[in-house]
Amino acid sequence: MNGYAGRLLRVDLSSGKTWVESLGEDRARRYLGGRGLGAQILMDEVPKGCDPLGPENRFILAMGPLAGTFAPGSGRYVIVGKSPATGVFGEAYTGGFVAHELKYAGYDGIVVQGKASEMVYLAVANDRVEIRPASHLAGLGTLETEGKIKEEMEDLETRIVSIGLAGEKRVRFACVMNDTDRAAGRTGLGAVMGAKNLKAIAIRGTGRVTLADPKAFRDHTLANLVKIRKNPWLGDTPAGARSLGTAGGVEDLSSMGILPTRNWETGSWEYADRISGTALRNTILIGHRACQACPVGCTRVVRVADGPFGGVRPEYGGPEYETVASFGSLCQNRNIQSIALLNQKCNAYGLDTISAGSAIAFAMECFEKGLLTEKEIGFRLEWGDAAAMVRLLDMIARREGVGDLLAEGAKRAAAKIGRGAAELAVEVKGLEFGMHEARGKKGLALSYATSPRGATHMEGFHDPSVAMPDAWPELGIVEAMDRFTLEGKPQAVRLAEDYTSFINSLPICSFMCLTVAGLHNTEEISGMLAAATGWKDITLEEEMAIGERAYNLARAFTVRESDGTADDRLPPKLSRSLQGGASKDQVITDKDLKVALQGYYRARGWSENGTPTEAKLKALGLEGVVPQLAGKGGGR
Amino acid sequence: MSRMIVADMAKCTNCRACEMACSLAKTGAFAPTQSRIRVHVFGEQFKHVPVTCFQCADAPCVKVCPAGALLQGDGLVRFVKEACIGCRMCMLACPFGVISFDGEARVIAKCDTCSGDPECVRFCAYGALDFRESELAAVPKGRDFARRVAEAAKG
Repeated sequence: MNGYAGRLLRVDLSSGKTWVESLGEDRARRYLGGRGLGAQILMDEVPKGCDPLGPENRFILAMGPLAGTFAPGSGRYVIVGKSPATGVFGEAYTGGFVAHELKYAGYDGIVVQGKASEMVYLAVANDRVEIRPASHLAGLGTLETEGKIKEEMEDLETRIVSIGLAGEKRVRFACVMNDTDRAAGRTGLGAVMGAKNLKAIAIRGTGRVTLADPKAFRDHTLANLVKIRKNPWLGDTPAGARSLGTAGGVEDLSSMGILPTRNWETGSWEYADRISGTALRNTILIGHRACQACPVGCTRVVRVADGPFGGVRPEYGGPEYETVASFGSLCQNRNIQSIALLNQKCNAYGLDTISAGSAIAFAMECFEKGLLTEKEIGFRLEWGDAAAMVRLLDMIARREGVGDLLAEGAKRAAAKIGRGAAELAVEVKGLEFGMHEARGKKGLALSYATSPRGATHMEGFHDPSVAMPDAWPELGIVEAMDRFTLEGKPQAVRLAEDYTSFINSLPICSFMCLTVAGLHNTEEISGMLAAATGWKDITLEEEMAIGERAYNLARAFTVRESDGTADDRLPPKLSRSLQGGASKDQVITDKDLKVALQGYYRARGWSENGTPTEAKLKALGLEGVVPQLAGKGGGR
Repeated sequence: MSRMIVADMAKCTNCRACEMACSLAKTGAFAPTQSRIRVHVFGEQFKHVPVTCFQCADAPCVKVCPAGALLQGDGLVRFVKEACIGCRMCMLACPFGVISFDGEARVIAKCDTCSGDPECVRFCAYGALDFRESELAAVPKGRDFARRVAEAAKG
């Protein structure tokens, strides 16, 4: 199987058995890899109503046909499982070096089931697979864990996927870390590893990846690299991601009124320039580095030697956009050194920086409104108090005091606090918002409300990218759409989501899927895929179908695991006016959303309650899923 | 004038495109362990150092090769695969560890600059690798240093 290793590594931690499963070319072409493959395994193997923290849940690490090659952004994998944060479809994407290493070891993914009786790590060196004791690694941060395992593997080139204390403590937004500075952040899948007593997966591969047509693959890659370089956001431009990282646009977001600030009260912040990519560069940045096979290198590397927020080391990288927003503007914290330290702590503890910052911002507003007191917290929690944020983050990772409450995520914490605290929790299905203001990007709001995994910023489009006509003609997105309207967007959102779902099934980094009008690389991506696999007849249409299939499968899992139908809604804050700035007074009312949802369900070919219909599932070749949705009102 | 591959570790981001491009060019598959160029990482110092054959003018590997498989050529240490007996003496003698062993073919592997058009340089997106005339190889580095002096002098 060209492009693929053709094998999945299967691990049952309860019995201690490991085996190899054939991937099969049919399955590969239906699901590709990444999200599609993960959703297929999850749907087929995880019983309805299973405890996300129980042995029946699966921990699925999946790559695809481009991992191991020099295709731009191919150093990517996804973790899939039932989410402890949302109780529905969980997934998290990350870069780094693991995807390539695992492919060279001879696998397209790893599926872990069961639960070890004591803490273990999985050691994979090509065909040699061992489950090794790891109780000596308990409580260690990712850097120390990686160091010790590399020694034990007697190979410094070993790549490591691991959890920190947060995953061990089942924090519901614990992430999965790799290569010290890369995080599969969202939906709490680090807690799934923790619940399985799986501290880490160590991988060393010395094999090869063969392609159907190496020369064509090289040509498509070179053409793709030319386009990526031309892209104003990724190339060598002064404000591009290469120069400033992903936080290069913070000031612009603030001036557009869509920089999440003060727990989503406003979208503009007078101190935006203190936390931006430029601010980073002018203060603590020492350089940048790349994930494997990436021509951009958005990873920031920072150092803070001493001072109140000292001890920040280059191994942990540096804060990217989501992190500077969640620990910066969202909490009104303008101290960049403290953001770097909070980022490092999250990487060491294995905490999702988006949800961690969101939990702290939520707690700050609770404190302001008297819903959490100084006595309950142990100290005052004023907006912008960086030192208090650091203390609170430690408490969350250790589940100490009020940290134990916040470790449950904003939704559950709000329910426990009561007294209207739910009005302050900004999440969908239990997943806190990505750092993108949905009232100023209303197409994204629709994705937030409907995505299988909750409020993710990695589905569909970000509205400024479709503000001009002919934004993405290849997909059929040609009409210019104002960022403040929902009207006319459901079909476009659906198309962009299906393509994104294809990209996430490859998977490659979403930044390497170019979204600037006139510079799309859909053709180059198709070319690379065809040359890698030998599927010469693959078309954009088939790619869209692969994306739609994966999307519907993930959706079906979420519907199956929900009480009644999927909980498609937006948090109460979004029906209140955004304060000040260029997106001032924007709201999304329940009525606005209801209308948009009906249009969206129609565009998707789902029933009126948002359940994939029998006809839609059959059209996608997902007949087997139909009985799983019995009683969910999908209809024919 | 002969040309040489020059690495600038300050520009290297550790993306490993060079290793992958090299292995594809030399073996027809992606297999970094078969690459003739390797990036070495020192995380604590935040340093990534790409290293490949320096094509020594008076090469220890040429001297020790008992089979005449390594030859001093025009700015290059040439490798004649057919003559190699797989003894690995050259790996022992090379001071830089840039000669590797191909376990399948049972011969050594080293950089041949892709006959003067190196793939690693082509696929380096960061300008950390360059293929330049030997006599001028150090000029850009000197200029980078001079720029810092000029900026410092500007006050």
